[in-house]
Amino acid sequence: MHSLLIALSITGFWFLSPEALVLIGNGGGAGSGAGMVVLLFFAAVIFIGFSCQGADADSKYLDGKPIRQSKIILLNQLLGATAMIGTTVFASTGLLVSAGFTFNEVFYYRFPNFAFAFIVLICALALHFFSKMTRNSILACAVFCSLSGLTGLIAYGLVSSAPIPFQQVNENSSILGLLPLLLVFTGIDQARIIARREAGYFIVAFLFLVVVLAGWMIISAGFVEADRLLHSTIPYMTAAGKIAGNTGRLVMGMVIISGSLLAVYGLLSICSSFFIRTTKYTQGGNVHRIVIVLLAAAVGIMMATGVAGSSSLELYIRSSLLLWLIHMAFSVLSGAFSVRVEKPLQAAAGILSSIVIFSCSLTLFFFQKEVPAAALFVASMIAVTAVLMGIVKFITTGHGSDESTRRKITEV
Amino acid sequence: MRFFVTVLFLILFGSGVSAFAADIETVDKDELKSMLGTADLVVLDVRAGRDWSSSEFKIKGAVREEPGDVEAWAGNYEKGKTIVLYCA
Repeated sequence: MHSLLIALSITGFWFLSPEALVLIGNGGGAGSGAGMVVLLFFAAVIFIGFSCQGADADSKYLDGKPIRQSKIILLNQLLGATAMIGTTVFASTGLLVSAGFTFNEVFYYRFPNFAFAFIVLICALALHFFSKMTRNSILACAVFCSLSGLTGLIAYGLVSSAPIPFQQVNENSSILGLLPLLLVFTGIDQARIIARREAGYFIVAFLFLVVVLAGWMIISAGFVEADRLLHSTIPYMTAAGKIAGNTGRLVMGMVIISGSLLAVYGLLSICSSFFIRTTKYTQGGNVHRIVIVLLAAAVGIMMATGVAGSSSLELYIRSSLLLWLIHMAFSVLSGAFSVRVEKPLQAAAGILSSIVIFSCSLTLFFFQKEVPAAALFVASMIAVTAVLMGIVKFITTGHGSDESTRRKITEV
Repeated sequence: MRFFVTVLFLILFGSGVSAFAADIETVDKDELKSMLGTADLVVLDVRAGRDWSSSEFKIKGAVREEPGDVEAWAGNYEKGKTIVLYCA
């Protein structure tokens, strides 16, 4: 049970975040029937991608096999690091603000939202400094709160009669309104690498979370008018309020706060692990923690300087997430090519999966409101990340080649 | 390492505290509530980004304006009116 909760906390770090719940809610507003089909389709695509993802250089490194570095793989690593740094810094800022507002508006309005956001950030940071046992117990508690709240609301919605009949497709929406559902699966590639010790539970956790999200989408659409759900910026709270009144809001408040903690913790952890793996620095856990502290400081600075109140934040988050999905598509593709001789069927499925992920991500990118600004942001982020990786590589050249420390760092 | 982490924790907490400690004249919520509905009152919701989108509560009748673009909309409101800016 504990292992399953740990696998759920790793796998569900993004699935249970307020960002994913907004995507699910908006998707339900675009048509609960079509939304569910698209969500399950993307889940199948990602699942197929799992068979090939991880066969790239990054995981060969993890498995202790020889590393075959090509320019394309290096480029993909740069893309991944950029996406992860962007997502960690900007999405965490947004997630923490959501948690702050939720606490302020649902639980205690006298407590400033920004103060609560900083407390959650400090908690997510502090978790990395606790012992593994304490950390895992807290994460298991957080995922339990999040999932029990969400499944409780779904169950309550099921036994209550939904006032709105099942709607296949919202006339005011289009297929483009459903494509963002792919963003729900952001980061699942890295979660799979981190959860490799719980590999058996990972698939169970993945499937369970997809079912819960599909259930939440259907229930939300049954209680909130489609147009309202489609355009809401907090569809999770609207739906929870409609399903179970103020109790529903309180339960959803708990889901959002624990989901935000999980997401910020997961992003900090994943980003740091990826950055260290790709720069091949293997001196031990301290470097991992220093990177995490620096990332958390960057998030803190973003919040303190008012980036959360900037209208550009959504653009930064969306662009970073799409970059991450493109990185995922390339990882799956590179994995598929590496197994094309011995496993042609698996390779073909992987190539198809990467094509779907890549084309949907690119479509979403070019259908954003401000494409030039997004392109400029991505270009700047890639440049900054390349410089950062170059600096770290320069500093660390010649250090930490010991295999045991390499193992140690991948276990953090 | 411990010193480094402690300093960063303090910076993070300090920046969090300073983010909401600005000395700005405010209107009490009960005072505003009693003023709502009067013809003389204009409530401007100048929250932007996540400050607006993450919030569940919106004041009925409030007009949304871009906080960084005051010059563009300042002329739209009569000087004699009571203008309340809602930013958090």
